[in-house]
Amino acid sequence: MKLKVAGIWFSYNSVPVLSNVGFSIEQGEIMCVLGVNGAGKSTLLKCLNRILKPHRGSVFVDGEDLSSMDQGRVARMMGYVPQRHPDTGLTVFESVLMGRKPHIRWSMGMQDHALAEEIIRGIGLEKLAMRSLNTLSGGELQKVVIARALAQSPQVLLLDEPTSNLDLKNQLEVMELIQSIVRARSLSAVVAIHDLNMALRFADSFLFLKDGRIYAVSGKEELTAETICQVYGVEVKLIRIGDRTLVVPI
Amino acid sequence: MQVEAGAITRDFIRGLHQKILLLVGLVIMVFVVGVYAIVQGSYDIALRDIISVIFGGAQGTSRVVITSIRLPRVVAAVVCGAGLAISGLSIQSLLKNPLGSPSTLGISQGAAFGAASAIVVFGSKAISVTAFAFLGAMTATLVILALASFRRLSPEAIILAGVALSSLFASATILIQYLATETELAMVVFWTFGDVARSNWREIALTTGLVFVATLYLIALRWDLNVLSLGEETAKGLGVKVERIRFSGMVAAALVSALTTAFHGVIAFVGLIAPHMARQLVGDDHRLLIPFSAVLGALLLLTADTFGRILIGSGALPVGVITSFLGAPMFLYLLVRGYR
Repeated sequence: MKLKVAGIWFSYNSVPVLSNVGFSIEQGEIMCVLGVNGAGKSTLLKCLNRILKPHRGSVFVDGEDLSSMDQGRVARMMGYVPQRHPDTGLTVFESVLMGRKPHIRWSMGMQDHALAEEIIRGIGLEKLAMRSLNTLSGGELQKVVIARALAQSPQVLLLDEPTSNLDLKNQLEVMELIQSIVRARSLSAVVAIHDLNMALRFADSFLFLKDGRIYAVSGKEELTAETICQVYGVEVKLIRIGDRTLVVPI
Repeated sequence: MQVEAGAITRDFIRGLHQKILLLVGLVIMVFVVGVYAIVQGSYDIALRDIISVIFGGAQGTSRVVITSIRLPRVVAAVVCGAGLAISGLSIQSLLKNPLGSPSTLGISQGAAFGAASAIVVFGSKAISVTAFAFLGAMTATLVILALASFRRLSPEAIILAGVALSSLFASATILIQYLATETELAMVVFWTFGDVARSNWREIALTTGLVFVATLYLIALRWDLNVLSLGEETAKGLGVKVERIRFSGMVAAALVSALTTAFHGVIAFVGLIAPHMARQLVGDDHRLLIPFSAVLGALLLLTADTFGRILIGSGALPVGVITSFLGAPMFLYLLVRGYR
């Protein structure tokens, strides 16, 4: 069991956002977190790597409890990709190198540079290496941010809506990239996502949040139109085309 | 473990080395302008006089003019320029606000009010003027910090808050002047103009020490600041204690602006312009931004003061007037261009 989350509770100004959320993910698996806007998806991700401190509950990576660790050590175990990225003049290489921050004491060494370069080449970003982030397209930027999270050498990846604002081709490319990384490096990934069809295509399991509580946790096979209908309040049908299942609102 | 550098890494490190050369070039420019500033003026000084003063020779008028008038002015301009630039940079990076600087957020004006009150209440003793300047600067800083972190105001709203604070402190300073005796009034008014010509060696040494320590502190934070420019959430995800460094960095910035303001009055906009010039030259890597901002701030203020003194003649024009003439258009330009 790579990532185990037990009974997370969190509230903003005494308004409960998450109540008793718990689940676990194996190595090499992607779990998609689904739910309407405001269901608590982003909050859940932030509670996992302790950007927000959950009021109750624990997160374990490889059996180690994160609540007893300092933030730097958490950052060496979990790579986090937030939903929004500010404008910055940092170059692609510089920003990927930043992923080494939790591993350094005073300055970046040759190993850190070499690792950043290896990741940039692995993702195929070498032509962009010296470009600044504010000149990149949305898809390129998303890949750079994922590369930065990888430079943390994490065991767990947390991604908050990695495909929002991307065109169809880039959505597929980014999700394929995430899937291949998770498989190749035996990571566990938690992905908050709105696009149900992307989730169906790439996830190994689903976590449905409704009003900050778990409505359902299911594998690919157990997913039903009923669950989606209850969570989103929209009538849908699951349709099989070839070996793919699609969600279609009716 | 020995690791071979790849092509991208080599390019990157070559780029760093080129920028360090550029930095050395800028430092040399500061020296050249500094020497020019010592030589030029209503009393002629030869280059060899400077050299002999350094080695303990050259008695008489040349020595007095160099050691008591021109050299302190040059050093004060360099140190204040660097200090204001460093505080401007840390404010801009910590608040993620490109329009931030000691003067646009009311921190300098807070310091000025504190210093003016100290002059009227306690006389112009360095210790009370400095302490009160720091109190004033800290008040403004805490208000700005509270608005930025608790209310999560946008960068523009923070600047508006800075405008409000500035005018509040300006009115309070006028009130102090209204209550002051004629001698005190003259002192306060003279003092409010930003001017690098008035400090003595002791004050300059104090400012230099503080600017030096603040710069070292900022250098220690360079990776945190780099990570912060990727966004607050990313920074936290990378283990940076954002609230803690934001507070300590802002206190450092307030201290530096308070001390430069206490001894030299309000010198506006240097803290805004210099970091932006540095960003144009070296991008957003704080390893380079910190030294470049400091050196460009020094160069900017020294050049402004020297040319103001020589071109306008009398030698009495406060440099704060010149930096405002340079800075206000720059501020407007940043607004219009849609700053980043």
